[in-house]
Amino acid sequence: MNSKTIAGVGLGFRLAIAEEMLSQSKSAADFIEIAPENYLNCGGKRGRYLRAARERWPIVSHGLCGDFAGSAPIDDSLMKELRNFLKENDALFYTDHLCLTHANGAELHDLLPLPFCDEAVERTAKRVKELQKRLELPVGVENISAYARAPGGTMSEEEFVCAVVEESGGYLLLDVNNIYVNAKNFNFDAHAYIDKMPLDKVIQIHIAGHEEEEGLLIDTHGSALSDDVFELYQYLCGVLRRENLDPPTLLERDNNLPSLAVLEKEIEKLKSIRDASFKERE
Amino acid sequence: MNELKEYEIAVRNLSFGRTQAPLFDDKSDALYRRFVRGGIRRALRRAMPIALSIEGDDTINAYINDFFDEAPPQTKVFRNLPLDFNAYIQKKTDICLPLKELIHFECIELEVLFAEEPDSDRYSFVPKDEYAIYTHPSARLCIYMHDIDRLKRSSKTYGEQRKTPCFVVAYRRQEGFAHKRISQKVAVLLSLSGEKTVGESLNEVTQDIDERRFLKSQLSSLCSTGIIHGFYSPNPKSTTL
Repeated sequence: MNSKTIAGVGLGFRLAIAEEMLSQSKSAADFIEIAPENYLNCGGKRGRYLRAARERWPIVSHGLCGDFAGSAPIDDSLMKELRNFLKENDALFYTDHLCLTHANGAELHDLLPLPFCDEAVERTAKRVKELQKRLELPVGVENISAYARAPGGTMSEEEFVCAVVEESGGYLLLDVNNIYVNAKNFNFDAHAYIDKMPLDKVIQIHIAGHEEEEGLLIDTHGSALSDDVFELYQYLCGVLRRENLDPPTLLERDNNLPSLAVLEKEIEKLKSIRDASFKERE
Repeated sequence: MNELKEYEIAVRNLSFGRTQAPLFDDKSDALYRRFVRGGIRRALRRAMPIALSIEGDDTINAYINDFFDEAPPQTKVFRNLPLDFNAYIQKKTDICLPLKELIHFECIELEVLFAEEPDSDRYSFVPKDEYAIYTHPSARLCIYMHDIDRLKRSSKTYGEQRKTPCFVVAYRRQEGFAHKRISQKVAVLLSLSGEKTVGESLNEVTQDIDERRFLKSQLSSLCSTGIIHGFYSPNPKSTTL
């Protein structure tokens, strides 16, 4: 599959639904997204799924351990494997999370918030530049959901995201659900947040479900998209269309996976929102 | 002052410290600590169902807590977390040998299941003396003093320690995890597969012609199970057989 077009609405490729996705004669997903770390040098069933998927869909790679602001040096061996993997899979860009995944010699395997400060901007920008050079691809950072603000912050979240994108010369993976979750958890206006984003740098959009726990919204990727998140997505599409921009959208679902038919309904709804925003512009 | 470095230290203490160290606020601290530890703990527990069954939740959770505190994950690859844990357990001096062996055996399962496919060259299935052995990339040779490979989730104990070690090859068959007992001499042949030809390896274990013939038949048998992918001429590596 020549993946020189990543467009429309895609779906996160998960082992639990891989067999069903691959056996479909027609897929609602225009592309799929994988976490490359899970597939590096991988044979067996997972390797077979990836080879089969590559024949059907363009593949987007979204990393989990970029550790953009971490103090650990780049793992040369892992980076080389990642570069080869991205080439093999015709990657057009690579994205990872704007957060801390490595802490003082330990891998967290979760996404911890960064302090919104100049030091984090500088360190992240430097890392993004280095990754773009090593991977020979555009690199995008994703705004994460958070449940606390890291101490030492000197700017707002949106100022931090914009500064990283500008300083790094990289791109932005804009996660609509994460904006919504953070807006609720930290009491800010999600629409105003979107208005401040460098939309011409948005390389991809993510959208997912969240759940509530003890008064906080948690980005679980484990439930259906909420009406509020659909509404925010509709707003984002409208803003993007006014700028004549049309980045691809990815539906993420990692937990409590429903049947593929349910996920495809969500994909169709996202597509109809995108299409409607085009018509409104015309 | 390097504030990010200090923040990293605080995040590590919150996530992996023996007790919850303050960083954000009580609720968020508890949440993030649970997220980090819970995700890793689930991955580790899934990887060792038999050890969990024999030792029980409390014991295994205590070892995982020790792991967090003393040697938290180094791998960036989530599926390799059990390998990190296994490496930690093997160094611990206060864990009994059969549990170490069982954790080793269970933790390599993911490594076996996800190992690379063999290369696409053509190989012979005949173990000629001048050929080298190409073991399947998923094959792992294990040496145990207990019959670890025969334990089940219903097992209550590890059984007696053996008088001599057993040799087990863990490997991938039809995308599933499989394992097979082999003799010590076949184990030596497999362990030399990257360095010597079949004939040179046989010289290491026996000069007896009948036994050499028998061991070659064992290698052929391992070829049919998929533990050995094939045999090749190593000088230079040739696909014309």
